Amino acid sequence: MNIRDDEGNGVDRDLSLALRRLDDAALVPEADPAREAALMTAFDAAQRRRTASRGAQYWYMAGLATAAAILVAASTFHGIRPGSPPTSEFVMVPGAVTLPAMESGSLVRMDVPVSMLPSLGVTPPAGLVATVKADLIVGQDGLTRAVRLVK
Amino acid sequence: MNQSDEELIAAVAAGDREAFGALYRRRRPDVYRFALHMTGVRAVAEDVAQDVFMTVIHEARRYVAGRTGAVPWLLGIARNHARRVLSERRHDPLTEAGLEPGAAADPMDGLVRGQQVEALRRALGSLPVLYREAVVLCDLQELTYQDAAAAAGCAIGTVRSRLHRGRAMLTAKMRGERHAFAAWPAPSWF
Repeated sequence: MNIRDDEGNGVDRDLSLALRRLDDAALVPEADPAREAALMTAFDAAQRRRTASRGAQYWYMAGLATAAAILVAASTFHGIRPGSPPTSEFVMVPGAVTLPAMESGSLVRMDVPVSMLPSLGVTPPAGLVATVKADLIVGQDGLTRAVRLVK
Repeated sequence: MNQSDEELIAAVAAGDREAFGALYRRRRPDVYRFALHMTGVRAVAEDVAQDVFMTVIHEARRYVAGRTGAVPWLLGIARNHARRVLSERRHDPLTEAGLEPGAAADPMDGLVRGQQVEALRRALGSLPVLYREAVVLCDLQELTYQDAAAAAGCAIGTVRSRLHRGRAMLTAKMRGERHAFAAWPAPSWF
């Protein structure tokens, strides 16, 4: 019982005794197997959802890569030849997984300030440059989904 | 399983089914007792305990070991669920634990000895929730002031003042039920 000595008096001691009796009376029944089973089922379901979510993220990335490949191929087919080859694979921009699924989009090559690269999930290249060339996959909503650096 | 509560919660967050089962079996009694003292109804206490561990399934990743102990964290969740139940049933008074209709087979019935405990239970149940939870956390669950404050989501000083006020109210209420204590073995109670 937790009636502190520094606060104790006769009444508190009696209250302490009475509360102890009350707590003694509150015996805990055995866990209901049905309730425990329901909890374990809920736990399993939650794990399945998490696994499915991770799977969805994987397929999102795979879809993004496919979209990038198609966009690059289309650009090449239409004679839009990139001036220099890419130096890295596409990486998903942080937070892109929470954006709506990409239904259509475009590949945009642009000069990106080096200071902006970390926010895009890209490590800035060594050297004192202000901007770097990068390919951006931009979705139908105008939001960037992935980026790669260009040499 | 020899893991600490904190280790079990971390394992639950990582998807360890066995850890969840172990945590449930180890800490369900604490959660149940808290819920029972707060609501006064065995069936409701069972529901609250169930809701608490359902919450743990989804929120274990939010637990930060070291910021608060595992038991205060669990009781903090229980407090929220118990408050919701009490709020929902504000106009539908909860049946007293020992007098539930059709609850003659309640395991608690055989353990409630005499009118004193019933009177104290009634008095505790009639306290405003803030004071009741302070008494339950500190005097019945035996948490430290610090842990009780973590569970109640308030400052330590607030817990102390609520506890002091709660005890005073409880004492006053019990004096008002002197007739129920006619057979109380501790005469200094009055």
